[in-house]
Parts: sequence; C-alpha cells; structure tokens
Amino acid sequence: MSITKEELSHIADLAKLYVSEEECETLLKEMEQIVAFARKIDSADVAALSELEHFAEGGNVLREDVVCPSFDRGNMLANAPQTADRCFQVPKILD
Amino acid sequence: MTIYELAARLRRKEISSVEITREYLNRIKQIDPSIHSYLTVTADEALAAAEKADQIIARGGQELPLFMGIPMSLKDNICTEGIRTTCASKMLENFVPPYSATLWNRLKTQGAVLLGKVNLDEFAMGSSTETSYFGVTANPVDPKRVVGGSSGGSAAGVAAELCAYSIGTDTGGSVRQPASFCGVVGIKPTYGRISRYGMIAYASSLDQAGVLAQSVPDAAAVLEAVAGPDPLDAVTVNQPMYPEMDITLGVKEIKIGIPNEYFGAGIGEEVRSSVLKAIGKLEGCGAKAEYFSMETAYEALPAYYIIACAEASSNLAMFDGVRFGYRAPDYSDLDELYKMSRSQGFGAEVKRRILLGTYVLSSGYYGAYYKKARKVRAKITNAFRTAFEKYDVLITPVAPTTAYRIGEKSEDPTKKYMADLCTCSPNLAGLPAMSVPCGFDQNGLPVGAQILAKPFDEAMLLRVGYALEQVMTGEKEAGQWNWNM
Repeated sequence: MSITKEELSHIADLAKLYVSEEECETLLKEMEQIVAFARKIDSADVAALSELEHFAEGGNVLREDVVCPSFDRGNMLANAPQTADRCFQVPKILD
Repeated sequence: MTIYELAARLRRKEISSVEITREYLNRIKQIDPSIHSYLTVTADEALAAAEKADQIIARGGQELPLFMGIPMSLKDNICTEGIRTTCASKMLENFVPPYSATLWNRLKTQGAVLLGKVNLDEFAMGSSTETSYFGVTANPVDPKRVVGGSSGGSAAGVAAELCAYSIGTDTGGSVRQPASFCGVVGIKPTYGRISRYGMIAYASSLDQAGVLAQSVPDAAAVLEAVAGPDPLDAVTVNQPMYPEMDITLGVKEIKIGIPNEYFGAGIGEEVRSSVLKAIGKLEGCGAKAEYFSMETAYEALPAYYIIACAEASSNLAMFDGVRFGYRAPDYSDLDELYKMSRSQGFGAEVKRRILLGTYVLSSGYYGAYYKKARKVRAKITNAFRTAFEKYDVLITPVAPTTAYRIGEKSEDPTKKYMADLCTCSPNLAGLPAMSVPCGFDQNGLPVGAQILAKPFDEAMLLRVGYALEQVMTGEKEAGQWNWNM
C-alpha cells in the first residue's frame, strides 16, 4: 500500500504544514518506509485486547477545586509574536 | 566528581560552592566549544545561587540538602522561569517561560545551582542529538561520534564533567541511550513518578523525566529529590519512593530474567557479549539468571512510533505562531500564518513525525494503526506483568550498537528508529528502567546494560544497578574522564 501525493497533501493540510514540490518526493519515499515499518504490527495477535487498557492501575486522581491566582496576563503575553490591546493579535478572519 | 564527593568537600569546607561553580564554568568555556552540549549558559544566575548556598553552608546548624551548592544542568525542554527554553527548535528560539517545571522548582528549593540548559534533538525527537536546530553535540569519548539522544547534551555534559548531574527526559529511551553512549548512569523512573508539569510535551503517555549522573547513588539521590505527587500533573502518584531502600544490599538470590529477543537479530556482537558478561558478573555475586522468551519485543517498536507520533501531532498543534514561538514574517491570512509559521519553525524530523501522526489518526487509518498500536501496548504491558511474576529484574542491552559516527544512518529514517529497539518497551508499559555502564567495545566506546523492574520498584532497579556498578568499577576507570579539581 502506498501513500499518494494527494493523500500527503491532505495530511499536510490537516497538520497545517506546507510541503513543497521538492520536499514532497523525499517525504513520500520516507513516509512509505515508515508506514511499511509501522505495518509490522499487522500480524500481532491482539483480538482479545482492548485499546482502552492502560498500564496504570488504580483510580483517578482527584483534587479539591480551589480558587487560586492565575498567571499574570502581561507575563503570558510577553512571548506572543504580536499583541494589541492586551490580547493576542491575528490577521482578520471576518470581513 | 560525584554529587556525594562534592557535597562532602563542601561540608568539610575544603571548597566553596562559588569555587566549584567557577571551575565548572571554566570547563564549559574551555571544553564545550568542541562538544557543544550547552545551548544557554546561565553564569550570573549560577554564581548568585552558589553564593547563596555558601551562606547557608557557612551558617551551619541545620541539616543541609545533599544538592546544596552543587552545579547541574537541565535539558532544554524543561521550562525555567525567566531563562530561555528552546526545545532545540527554531520554533522556540526566543521563548522565555513564565513558569518553571515542578522538578526544577524542587531542586532549586534544595539549593541546586543551574549552570545552564543543554542540547537535545529538536522537541526530543531523535536518538542522536543531530536534529537540534542549534547544531549537533559531539560525544566526549570520541567527538566524531554521536552522543546519543535525545538527552544528548545532558549525557555529554555529565561525561565531560561540565555539570555534576543533569535532568533529561525519556519518551522511548532518550535518557538511557545517550547515557549508554557516553558511559554514564541514566535512569527513567516509573511513569507518574516525576511530575511532567513544565516539561514541553512530545508524547504525553510516554514522556517521563529522568536523571543522568556519574554514579548509581547520585542518580538515586536526584531521583528521590524530584519525584513525588504534584497537583499540577494528574498522572503523578503518591507511592513511597524507596520503602526502606538500601541500594547496597547486593544481588544474592535476586532473580534476573534475560529476554532472548533483546539479544537477537539487530544487536551488535560486542554489545551482546558485554551485557551477557555483566549478567555473568552479577551471577558471580549470587544472582540467579535465566533466559526466557518475550515475543512482544518485535511488536514494540512499530507500536511505539505510531503512538509517539500520534501524540506528538496533537501536542505540537499548540505551536501556531499566535501565543508563543516563531511567527513567519509574511502571510496573507490566518491559515497561511499557521502553515508558514509551522513549516518554517519546525525542522524536518519534527515535520515528518507530525505528518505520520496525523496520518495514523486520520479517518480510514485510525483503526489499522493507532487503535491496533494501543492494543499491542496492552499486550506488551501484560507480557511484562507475567515476566515480573517470575523475575525481580530483566536485563537487556540499552542500544543495539555503541555510538556511531555523526551523519551515519541518515538515509532511511526507520534505520535510525532501530536505536530505540530495546528502550521503547519500558515506556509503553510505564516501567522504570536504567542504563548502567557495563564495558567498552574494541574502539573504546562505552556499552550500557539496561535494567528493568516492575512499576514503582526503583529500589530494586537501583540495588541491581549499584551491584553492577561495583563489579564494573575496574573496567570503567580505564575509560573514564579524570578531573583533578
């Protein structure tokens, strides 16, 4: 089974990545190898098992819902590439 | 010098923390340009912390934490408030976290002196530290060779004595494998032992911080200092660390399981014989070793890559050029802002794993890959559970080979993934595992033995690790770095 160029471009779109023409060829080859490698689990006998099983035993860890101070707004905005009026700024999405 | 040795000298007032810190900073200045383990050196902060430690030591009259005044480093995917944390990615080149990881807060409270942040594979994705945006880290044992990864900067720093110990992270072997390539001790505890709060996520169900140190007792002490429940990470558990632990108890009557499959095809001959010799030495100390079959070994690696990439594709969706991290300079709309920022900010390996993760989670393929991999994970967990009904520990190689040359194995990505063959199953099953040096190959490159124990039985792990370290001391010294401070 092989990955087509169209499939790769669809996946890249879902992952919000651009794949250039040059990258496309290499990536297709590499993805092909990786997917073939991943398919090695095809033969694993797991019919009796659930995908929801987890190695951690015991129940949920719960905590009290306590009101406490949150992060400082200015500190949180300090790493943003662009801000305006103490908010994150992005290009206009509505006309 | 080990943490215990440095701490003893500090307590005897033979040396001050400021002097030790200056010595390490000098070594970093002299040696690190040829190794490149540090991405950020925090000299001023380190000296200030050392000065404070010296005052506390001088005051005396109270029990000092072991780590008081001892210089160390952190892998650069562990958040440090006010100190740049890059994940070795262009994406976070200028990111200064507004908070610190719980594990760093715990060490800082005990007087640890942070020398700086060390290199890794970009977003911890790799096993050679070659995918770092800031350049490769060289192996101090042979600078033409890789240091392993992804905690490569940590392992190189400890091996070259550019820090007394380092905290790394381990998703599929990222603490153990570089430890093995550099001849130092590396421990990844049980999943849930150390808080992941402030660790930049790669694959959340596999990620666990770990310790790289010069000796097993050092690693045990650091682990104890950073472990424990944290309300900020719901998977941390309240399990006593080492109930009545004594790592010096020896291995008499300890049952060692040797899983055949981890010594089979793909494992280098010298690695195999070194690890088997080490097991033989433990038998000489009274341990009982026995071969057994663990067929799930071959299914672990593909399952690991499916799950790790799936989780990575989801975790790394937060890097969108809006709230933090790199934003591309040119874009026409929001969608292009996301795509341009991510495409320019992430390196090739990170993009490859995001794409693979998106693929295995996409409709039509979810059942064949992700769901199936989850079931394989359950099967592997059960296989370990059965094995630990019979054995106290399992011993395997850490990596199939010793450190290979920088640039080697770059053509087929899956060849590189083979490096995680022996180390990824403990992450899938959440088990504690450690790498202890167990000899050298004919090129003088270190080999590591991997010890595995049942969940939360780090005490057993460290006990066997310490016994192995004791019997290996002679051989280890021959290839070790000497530092006469």
